[in-house]
Amino acid sequence: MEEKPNKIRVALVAGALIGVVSGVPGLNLINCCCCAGVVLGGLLSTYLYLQEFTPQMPALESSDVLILGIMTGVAGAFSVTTIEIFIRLLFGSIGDEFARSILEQIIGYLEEGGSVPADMVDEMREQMEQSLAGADSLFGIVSGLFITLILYPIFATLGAMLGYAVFKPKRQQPLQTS
Amino acid sequence: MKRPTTSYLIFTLLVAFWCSLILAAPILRSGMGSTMHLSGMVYDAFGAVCHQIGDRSFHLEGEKFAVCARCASLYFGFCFSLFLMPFASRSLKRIVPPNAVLAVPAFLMFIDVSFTLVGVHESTLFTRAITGGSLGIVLPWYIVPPLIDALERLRFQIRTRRLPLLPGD
Repeated sequence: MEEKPNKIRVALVAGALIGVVSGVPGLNLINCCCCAGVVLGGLLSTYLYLQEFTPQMPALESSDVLILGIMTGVAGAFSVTTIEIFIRLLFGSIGDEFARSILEQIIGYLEEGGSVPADMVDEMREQMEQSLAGADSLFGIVSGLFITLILYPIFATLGAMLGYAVFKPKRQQPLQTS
Repeated sequence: MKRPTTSYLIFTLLVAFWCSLILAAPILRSGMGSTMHLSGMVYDAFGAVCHQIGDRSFHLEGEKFAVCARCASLYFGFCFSLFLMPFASRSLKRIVPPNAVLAVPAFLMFIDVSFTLVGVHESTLFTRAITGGSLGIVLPWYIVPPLIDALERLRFQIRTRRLPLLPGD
């Protein structure tokens, strides 16, 4: 019987996608809803991993998915930090301006649509400025990495488990505890 | 009711702790001195996973929750379902419902969010709580059984010293 597919490659691919979704200004707004981008990344990792299985391989187990989710979250945390550093190095304050302009466009769009009240728009602007100000320093980068290294594996694992339940393989190995 | 496993109890305690932090943040903020500092740390931590906009949040003691109404409802719904699970099933590992049960609340939340973004309809605290809460109530039935199963498998593999971690495992 063949061995199970490599988890690292799938975790890196899904982690890189998490990094893009969470690191690119504008796109990262999706994480405002319970880390949805990270959860979807975890879900995607299970889907991608399942695609690599052949009938000759042992069935996917929930413990594989648990480890895959954790690896995906860790890869995502490092990739989002890397992408944020790259954006900062490449664009410097232009990156901030870019992020600010995208967020301003979104806020303006919401304001015009009448879907958010005026005082909430001010609060959104204030939070945007706070987040941009805190991201500049080395301390901001390290503390950001620290927080994402805790949160991303948790949410990616939950997403991976959700993926396991949704894309569940037909054949399943029973737990042998005896 | 089957006796809940250790993995289930630990996971439930962690989720309950997470939910208690959401409530602790506004209570601590309404206090004085060091509790304000603690509250700030909790708000900062949750800021990584939620926009925390005051108008879109529930309030306690005049202060907003650590997360918005939708997220809070999702987390509390998740926690509520977790507590119900041992009563609803004889085995925590065999209660994954059909995918359609997950699709309905997920679709409702998607509609609520997307319609608000395009200005078709304005979501309210009520719709956010309903859509977030219903998804939160449904999610554990998909996530927890395989998670408990995975943790038990890992414990078994560690006990028998055959922990599969990396490629080719």
